[in-house]
Amino acid sequence: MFAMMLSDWERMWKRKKTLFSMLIFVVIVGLDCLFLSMQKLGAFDNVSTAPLVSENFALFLLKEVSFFLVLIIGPMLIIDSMNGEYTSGQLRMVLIRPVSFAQLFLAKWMNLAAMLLLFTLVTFAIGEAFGYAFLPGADTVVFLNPEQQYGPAGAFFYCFQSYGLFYLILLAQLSLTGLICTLLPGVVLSYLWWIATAVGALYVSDSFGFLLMGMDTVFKWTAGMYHHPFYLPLLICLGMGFAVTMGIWQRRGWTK
Amino acid sequence: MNEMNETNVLEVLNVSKKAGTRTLVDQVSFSIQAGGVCGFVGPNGAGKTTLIRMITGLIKPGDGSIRIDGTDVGRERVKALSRVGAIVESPIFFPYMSGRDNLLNLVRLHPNVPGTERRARVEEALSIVGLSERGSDKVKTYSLGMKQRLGIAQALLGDPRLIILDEPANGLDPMGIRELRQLIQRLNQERGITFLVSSHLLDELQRICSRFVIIKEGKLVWEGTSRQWQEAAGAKGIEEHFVEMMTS
Repeated sequence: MFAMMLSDWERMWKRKKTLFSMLIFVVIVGLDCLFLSMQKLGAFDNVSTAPLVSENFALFLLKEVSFFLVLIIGPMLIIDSMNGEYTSGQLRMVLIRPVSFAQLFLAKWMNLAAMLLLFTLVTFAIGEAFGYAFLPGADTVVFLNPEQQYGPAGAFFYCFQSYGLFYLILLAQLSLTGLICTLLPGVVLSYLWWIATAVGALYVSDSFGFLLMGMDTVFKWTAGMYHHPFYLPLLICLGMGFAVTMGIWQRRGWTK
Repeated sequence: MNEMNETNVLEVLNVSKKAGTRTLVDQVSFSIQAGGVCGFVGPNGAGKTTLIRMITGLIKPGDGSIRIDGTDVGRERVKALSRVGAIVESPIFFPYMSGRDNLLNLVRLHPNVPGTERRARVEEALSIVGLSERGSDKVKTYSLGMKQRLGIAQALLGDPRLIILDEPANGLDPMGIRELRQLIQRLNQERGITFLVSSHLLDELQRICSRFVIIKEGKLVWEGTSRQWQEAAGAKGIEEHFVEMMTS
């Protein structure tokens, strides 16, 4: 299993697209740091704001870059790994070996989860470092809920928790996108279906709004102002997507 | 298991496969004994690649079973393929990696190759197919012939007892075809590797194969030794005999 993960991880990083995405992402995060620090206020939504300080900077930075992770980099990495390799015929070199298809899927899923974690942690590290290096500190910080005040340690934990929740949303996205690109025959079609699913989920129920508006959900949930179930729909997307995709990988015919 | 089965590397037993209402493979049975080179012949669309996909576990038979070294591919695919190398259709490598890196990446997936031996195994495979010097070049710079040779190299990584080659001469020039033939003969004679080779090049197959399996429209139409085929063909020659079998 570990050998399979290592083999897939190596291929992932040898694709120029992955390294290029990471470099572009770091540049985008850096530019967002600059633009965000020029503003004095961070916006939770159209009406609620908070003064930007060292302690909350990383959280607002995540809001700025979450779009790239959810709509561009995340789907691109997932679809490349789970669909692109197969539809191009390259994965056949792996499939004809003594490997379990279920373990291969698990290896890919775990590698992608690790990759998304890396992107999330890079954002957190840059956000915290930039915030403490270039923004003024505050003794107490307020987030979306003005009644809840946090000291520096509490604010750090609050940001960390928010990043954790956002990462869970990315994992749900991983499972759903993995399912979509397992069912569909091409990379572009898979990407378009992921966007359609994220948008369409809003019409099914507001509880699935986290797929498209992840940071809005995270802001409200951590502030105790989210009025929909969060973990249940998230775990349904994550668990069902994972289980169904694994079942398909075990049973499907590999004809490409 | 009877005495004959003990020497069979591959056994295909009453295998059928349908796609919708269309029958791709119909009740095909044959076996290959250890140490031989078996030609797998049939016109385009006869079901050769479908059968090879089933032998390598990429698709499941609708009916029947396939055993490699006595292990059922459908039930224990990982064990059954532990000593099998294959090229299924054209070998498509990871183009952004060098030939050597492709093999290093793939050799990890063979549990029977210890970590300390992987690099040596890759170098040996590259050396056997004559690609040691070009091993560090990206695969996307390789000619078709080099990709086919690298395809053989990847098939050798797991120390196979059986190698399955699906149209390995596709796109090769006469020199490349001769090199491929010599490579198969060398690996068969020096290492005792059993081969199942699907190809349209009957003359080439005739030079290396000890046995033939011929299918048409998904059905087995003839099976026997190379000598038996020559005798059956008589003065007409095997090419004419093959055409007769396919058009009758």
